[in-house]
Amino acid sequence: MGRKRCAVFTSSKNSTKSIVHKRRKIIALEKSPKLSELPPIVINQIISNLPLDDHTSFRSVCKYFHEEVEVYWRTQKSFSIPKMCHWFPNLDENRKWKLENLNGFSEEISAIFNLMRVGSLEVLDFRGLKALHWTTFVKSIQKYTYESAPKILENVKKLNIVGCTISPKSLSLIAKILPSLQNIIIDQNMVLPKNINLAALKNERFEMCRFKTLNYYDYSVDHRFALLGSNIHWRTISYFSQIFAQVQNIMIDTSL
Amino acid sequence: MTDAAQERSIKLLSSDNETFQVPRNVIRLSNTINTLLQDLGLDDEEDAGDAIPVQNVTSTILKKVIAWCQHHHEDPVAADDSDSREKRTDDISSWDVEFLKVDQGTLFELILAANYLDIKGLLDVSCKTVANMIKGKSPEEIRRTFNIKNDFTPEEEEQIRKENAWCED
Repeated sequence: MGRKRCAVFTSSKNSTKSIVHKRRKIIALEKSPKLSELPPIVINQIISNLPLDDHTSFRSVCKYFHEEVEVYWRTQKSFSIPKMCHWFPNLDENRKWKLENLNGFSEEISAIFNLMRVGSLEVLDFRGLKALHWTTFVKSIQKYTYESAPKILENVKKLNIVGCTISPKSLSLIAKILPSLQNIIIDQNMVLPKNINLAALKNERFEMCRFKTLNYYDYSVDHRFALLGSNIHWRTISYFSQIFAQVQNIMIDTSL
Repeated sequence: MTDAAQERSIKLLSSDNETFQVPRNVIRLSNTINTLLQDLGLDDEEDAGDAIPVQNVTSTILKKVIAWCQHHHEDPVAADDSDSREKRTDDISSWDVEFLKVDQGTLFELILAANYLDIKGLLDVSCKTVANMIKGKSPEEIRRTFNIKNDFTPEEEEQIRKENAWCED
């Protein structure tokens, strides 16, 4: 009988312990922060890890998340192919061929530019594309914004066209549309027009050396810039310096 | 930083007054602590003196933060080219996955501590973990998972539905 009472007592002691433990756990949970209490900088980092489809759900959860998704898009300063693959994972999965030229994902580009703030873009990075057809890009970015491409891209300072095949006509159009361009990154295998005037280019090269207005860097794989002593790329540099008169830095990616 | 500075220890004081002795080369992952030591001219001192108060971080969380730094302090420094690299959330190491198998409260406290101490790697991996918890869920499922109140008015909800309809087209 005594033993039984003792067992009952122990069990009641255990259950009291368990209740206290549970209560402590509840109090701790109540005290700990919730997702909606994290600061905007953290919420922004979480959003940056979500594909576009999930932005739609996340912005519909509460006012705070809605505002932060808006802020994320308003503060986007760069467009790049890796970013497109992140926002649209299906581009990267089984449809890599879509990334070969802009026609393969023009609708996705239109959607992204509609979310970004007009004039906020500073970096255009086309690395990864095989063919860059500028007119297709311009049409895509104008599609839903109803703004002109020069207005949308007026603050672009950096252009990366490493690995892209691009026509001289497209290059001239880019130069006209990007008045704020300061840095251009190209690769050493850039195909140049056959009929360029080498004598004129040589003079241009001497001019740029004399006034030191144009810097020429090796844009290596790990992105550490080093001034090249070699003159092997002068033809390419001169050609680009003629087309992009406003550009201050021409960087050549020698890793390709 | 000199070799002697790397070998020495730094004392950290949690918000609940527990002191932790941390090797300098482990806590170097915290930019906040690095800046503090440099600004106070204590980085090359043999004895950094009093414990550095880490406000808002409890001993339980600080202990976990130190454990994370201990495991990762020899990792190569990642290049800061987040815009040119594709963001991935499926590249979390198995150690980090196990480390972050904690309740939501602890996970968010770790995020706040990583943000306060400016430990980029820990903030990155914990935010990726939260993003993975959000992916593929409907707004209602996200609310349920994270215990969030829907504070939209019916009119606002209707407006958002219209905005989302554009995105889904």
